[in-house]
Amino acid sequence: MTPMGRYDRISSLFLMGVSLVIIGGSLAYPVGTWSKPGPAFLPLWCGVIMGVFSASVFLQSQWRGRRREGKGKEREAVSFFTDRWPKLLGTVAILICYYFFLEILGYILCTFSLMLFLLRVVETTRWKIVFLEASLATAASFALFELWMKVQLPKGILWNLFR
Amino acid sequence: MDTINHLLLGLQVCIEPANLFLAFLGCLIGTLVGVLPGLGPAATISLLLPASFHISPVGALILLAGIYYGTQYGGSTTSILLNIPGEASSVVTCLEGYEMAKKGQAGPALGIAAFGSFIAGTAATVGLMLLAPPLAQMALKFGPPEYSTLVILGLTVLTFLVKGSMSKALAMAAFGLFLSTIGLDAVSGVARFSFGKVELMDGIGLVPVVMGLFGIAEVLLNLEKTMRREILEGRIETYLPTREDWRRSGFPIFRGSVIGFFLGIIPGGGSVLASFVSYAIEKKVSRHPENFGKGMIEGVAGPESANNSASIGAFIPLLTLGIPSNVVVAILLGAMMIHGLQPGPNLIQDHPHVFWGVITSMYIGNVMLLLLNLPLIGLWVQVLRVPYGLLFPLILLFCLIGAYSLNFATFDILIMIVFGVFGYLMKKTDYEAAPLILAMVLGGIFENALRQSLILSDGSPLIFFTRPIAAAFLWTAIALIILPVIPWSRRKRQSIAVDG
Repeated sequence: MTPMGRYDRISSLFLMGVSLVIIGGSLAYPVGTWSKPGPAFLPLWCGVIMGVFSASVFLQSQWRGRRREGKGKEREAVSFFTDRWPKLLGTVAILICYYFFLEILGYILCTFSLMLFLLRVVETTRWKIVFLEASLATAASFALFELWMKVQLPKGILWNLFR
Repeated sequence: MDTINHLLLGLQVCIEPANLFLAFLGCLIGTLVGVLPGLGPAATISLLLPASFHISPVGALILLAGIYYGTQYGGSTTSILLNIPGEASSVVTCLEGYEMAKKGQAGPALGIAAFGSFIAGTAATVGLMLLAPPLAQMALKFGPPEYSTLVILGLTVLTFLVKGSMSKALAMAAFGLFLSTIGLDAVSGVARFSFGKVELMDGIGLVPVVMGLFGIAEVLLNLEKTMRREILEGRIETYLPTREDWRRSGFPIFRGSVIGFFLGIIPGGGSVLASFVSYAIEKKVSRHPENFGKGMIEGVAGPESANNSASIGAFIPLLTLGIPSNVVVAILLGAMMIHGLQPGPNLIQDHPHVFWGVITSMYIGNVMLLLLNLPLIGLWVQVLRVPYGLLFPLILLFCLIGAYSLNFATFDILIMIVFGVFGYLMKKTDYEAAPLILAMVLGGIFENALRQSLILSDGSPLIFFTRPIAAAFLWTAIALIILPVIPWSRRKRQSIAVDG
């Protein structure tokens, strides 16, 4: 996949911003000296190197863009996201919800809900298969991790209510 | 004589029923992961890392190592039958293997891939067994300057070889080094970039980052596409290559084994590079290079041997120097440290049963893989028929459980999601994740070695140029950074990426 010049410029500017934050943040700690490097020595240099190479990406994208304009080539019209972007957004949203509610509602409820959402909303699978897979996945994963491998999965407030 | 005694010690460890079972399980899981596109060895090993806490250190290493070289076997199945590489290192197998399958030669293609992998894997294990002890002895002479320049070389080699912009790869490597500094500084006790959060005092965990960048990001990318798979129908009559197939494949297997082994050793090298280089060489030495791309068995035998050989060779710097040569081995390094094993020159002396047990398990693992792959191809094909829409929720679920079970903290889930989105954006804009991960793993070693070197030299960076081994590493790294500026070299570097 060939990145568009515009996305190179945006991404490199973003990374330059990140490198400035890293450099600024590093200066809050002792940098030390060359003969006795402090805790900020390496982070500071990482920020500088990252900034230099991000700037290099930016300049290369500018130079390539000017070359293309000089040769009279038309701008590519490539969309960054495909038309399936709602599925991506939905998936990320449900993962964030899972993170927020896992310890509140417990593993079983959250996992079952997650699987329902992913199978039905993101992938529009038939309800029969959705319920079957969601139930099997939740039960099997609970048995495998909690019962066999003794991983302490969160029980949630509902478990505590029924105890 | 010593070698035989060591092998017997290793065999004693390896044939314990529990360890034999773990070798088998690792190979099985590895093959399955290799067959299934979307979940690679890095994410799988990360997922199973928490589960490995419940078994012995040597057992854990046997299991995880089995997954790693098992994926190399499994990746060829989808490449040949589906024209979809199961693993990045099987991309070149698609070029010739699928064409052979279209001509009704899927059986011999699968067969030579399996046999070539077995021969190369076994040969590489012998190489590992012979080279590792003397290398460990040599590594005892390495001091902080040598370690710091070796890390710089490893990162530079990897960034030189990734497809696309080296500037982007170096920016990611620098970012990875920065990420490794988050948390408590071991020397001064200062909490760097923790923002007062207790969870960040220990730093950002490698496992959630890897699962995010390689697991979640891959799922998000695959969700964008409609994954249609056309499995080549038709009965496969035999997997045994003919005499003519063996005649044509003999030298490619030999070349692939050697190339892969030495490329696997180099930090930054690995299976992917080895398979591409092997393909390029087979095309170059062939009497009929114009037939490449139309179903040449040499184009399957060489690369498949090379990627297996490289996966074994990659253990040499890990076990002898404590330096991982690629991302997957970097995670294995993390696994060893979690289990209380310090990889490096002293591993052979301090834990000989671990060292020789793992090596012996590789012999046994290669036999298991040969026996697993060919008879079970029918099963793997059925697995491939499962729609991706039913698979990806399971992949996500395993990622979530894996992240949570590390520290029983939802914070790791958040890290994984953040890096998953970041990894998705990185892939869309052609930034490679491998330099970031390798830098993150090596960051701790690098910072310690760098600080010690500067203290030793009283602040003079010339120490890296006056010590011969360190100077050799550093000058090579500098050359690799400068080379892309030269037009001839830029074209050559692009052709290594394009030839695949």
